[in-house]
Amino acid sequence: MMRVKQAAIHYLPVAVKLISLSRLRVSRLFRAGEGPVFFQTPSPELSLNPAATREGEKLAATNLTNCCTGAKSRRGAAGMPDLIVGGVLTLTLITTLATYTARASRLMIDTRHAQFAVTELANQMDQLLALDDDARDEAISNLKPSTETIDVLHGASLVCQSIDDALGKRIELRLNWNRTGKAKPMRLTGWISPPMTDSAQ
Amino acid sequence: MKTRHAFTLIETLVVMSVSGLLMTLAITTLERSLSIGTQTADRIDDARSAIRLVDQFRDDLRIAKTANTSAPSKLEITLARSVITYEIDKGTVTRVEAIEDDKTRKETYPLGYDRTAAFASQVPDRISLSITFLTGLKHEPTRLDNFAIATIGSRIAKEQP
Repeated sequence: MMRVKQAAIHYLPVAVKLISLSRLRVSRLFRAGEGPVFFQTPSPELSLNPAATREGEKLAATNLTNCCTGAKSRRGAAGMPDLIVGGVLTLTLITTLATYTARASRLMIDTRHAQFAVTELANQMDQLLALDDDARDEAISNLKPSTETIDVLHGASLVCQSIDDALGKRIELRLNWNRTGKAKPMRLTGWISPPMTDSAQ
Repeated sequence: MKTRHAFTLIETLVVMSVSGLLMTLAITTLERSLSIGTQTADRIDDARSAIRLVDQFRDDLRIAKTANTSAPSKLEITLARSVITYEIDKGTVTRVEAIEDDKTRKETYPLGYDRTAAFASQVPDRISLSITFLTGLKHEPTRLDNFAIATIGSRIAKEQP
């Protein structure tokens, strides 16, 4: 057990140095006008183990060969600007598509709500037109959206207006609910007695 | 000597991982956005079919003498000269009108594989038709898409003095 500990203490710095050498960039082995850094400043740790030193020298020599021949040193790596441009383009693509997807989903929900509102107005109008005048006036005063509509359309409010003018006697229903933006209430008009035309008179 | 900056293996691996993640996200979003077109077209068809069904349901009930629902999937409407039967089966509503003798007129209203409909009697003389969407979610398994109520014989009552 002690031997293992001693060996670990002995070889650990060498191993660390080898790892750092293996990650060392070729260009950093040289300084301007000087020789390879590795050969100029041999580390004291490497000198502890001859085998490790030989391996380090071999590695550095390989790096040197690759560097000096020039053929393998021109590696087609991506630079930082390339990566930034690629990342920005990908993010733009994702953002654009996500925006369109969210908008399409929102549009489908709005369409469904609008269709539900149309059906609710038709339901109310159908009921009101089937009543006689007195019962209709009472029903108009107690008019409110159905429970199903209140569940589906948040903040739904229903207003009914009885109109009697040159266009005839009619009732107008207005349904509004919480929507994004300034949306006008949905309206439906039902004629109780249409105006008399010349041909009918 | 001119020094060139390059990336280590770890940096390259990190960049490749992030790029892979971004590309996966981009492809997923693209696939979703492409499928939305097909989904929307299907939804529009189903919605149009549902609108036609609701309109026909209203028109039939307005001129009906009687109407009864023996089950949520069945509605029988008796008119002055004919009998109309609505039947719901797996997202499709079928309307059969017996005109005269053994002649029938049949029409189907496909609502979509993930939709269902149900009839119900409402007090006093009204019938409701609800179309629900099966979401498949635990917290909200169904969602009400359409809810129509019509009064039986409302047009006949108005025409009679």
